[in-house]
Amino acid sequence: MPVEPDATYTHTENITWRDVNDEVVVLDLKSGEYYTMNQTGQCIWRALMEGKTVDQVKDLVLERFQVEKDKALTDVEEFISGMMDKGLLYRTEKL
Amino acid sequence: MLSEKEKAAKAFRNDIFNLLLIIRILTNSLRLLISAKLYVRSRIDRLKLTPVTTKYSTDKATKAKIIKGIDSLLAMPVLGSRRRCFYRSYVLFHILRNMGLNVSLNIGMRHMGGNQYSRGHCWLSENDRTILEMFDPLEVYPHKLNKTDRDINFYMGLKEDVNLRRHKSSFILQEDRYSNLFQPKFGQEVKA
Repeated sequence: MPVEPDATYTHTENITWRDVNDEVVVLDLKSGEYYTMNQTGQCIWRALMEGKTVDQVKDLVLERFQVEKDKALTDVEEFISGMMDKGLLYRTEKL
Repeated sequence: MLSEKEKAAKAFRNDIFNLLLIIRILTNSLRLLISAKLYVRSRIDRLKLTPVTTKYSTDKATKAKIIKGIDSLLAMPVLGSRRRCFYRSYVLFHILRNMGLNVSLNIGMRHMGGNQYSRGHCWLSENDRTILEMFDPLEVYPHKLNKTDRDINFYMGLKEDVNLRRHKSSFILQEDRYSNLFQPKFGQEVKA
């Protein structure tokens, strides 16, 4: 499923997450699997949970990390796709 | 007043009852262990968690002896070292619940930083009090992430630290951790 620039995402029902020791920990309550992520992943996750769109998340990654624009977009898209494949994220419907 | 003969008969009946109970618990423990090893493995959603019952009802001293015996059996190296704490906690969880104790299963994970592998531990608690452990795992896994409606608590641990390996506060839980399990707490009698 393509990741659209104006789309927003949130975590699925069986997920809980917390900031622990300045680190994002995502827990799948159903399977009992823990996920931790690198700095970029944490930045993307927090922004998505704040309700930011893919475009806004990409801008945030560009602002915080010294990366090319294309690379930032690819990172965000890959992160979202990967999380969706694992059943951790889903796209929220527009109101 | 019971005569000596009646007392002896009663004691004999009790012994037979306890022996049958031990055989029943041992059989169930083996069944639970095999199902956990073959079916559950690390899939928490496959865990079947029993409600609190009085299925294994007997006197406190016998209960304590049974738990100690089962725990010793579960510590045997023949069972393998991987996830041993999980299998131990899973089996004891069922037995203790069937002895009337409202125990919870706790799972803690911590990663060692970088690309190193993660470490974890599984233990039991009763009313947020760690039980059947030599050291309190909450020292290593202090961050409670969530409690599920299935009485499983998830914790996140601290990153690897030399002090953690040594259990810096040396907080040792009750030495007689088996018999203390069935003692009344806060003035309330534990249902047998």
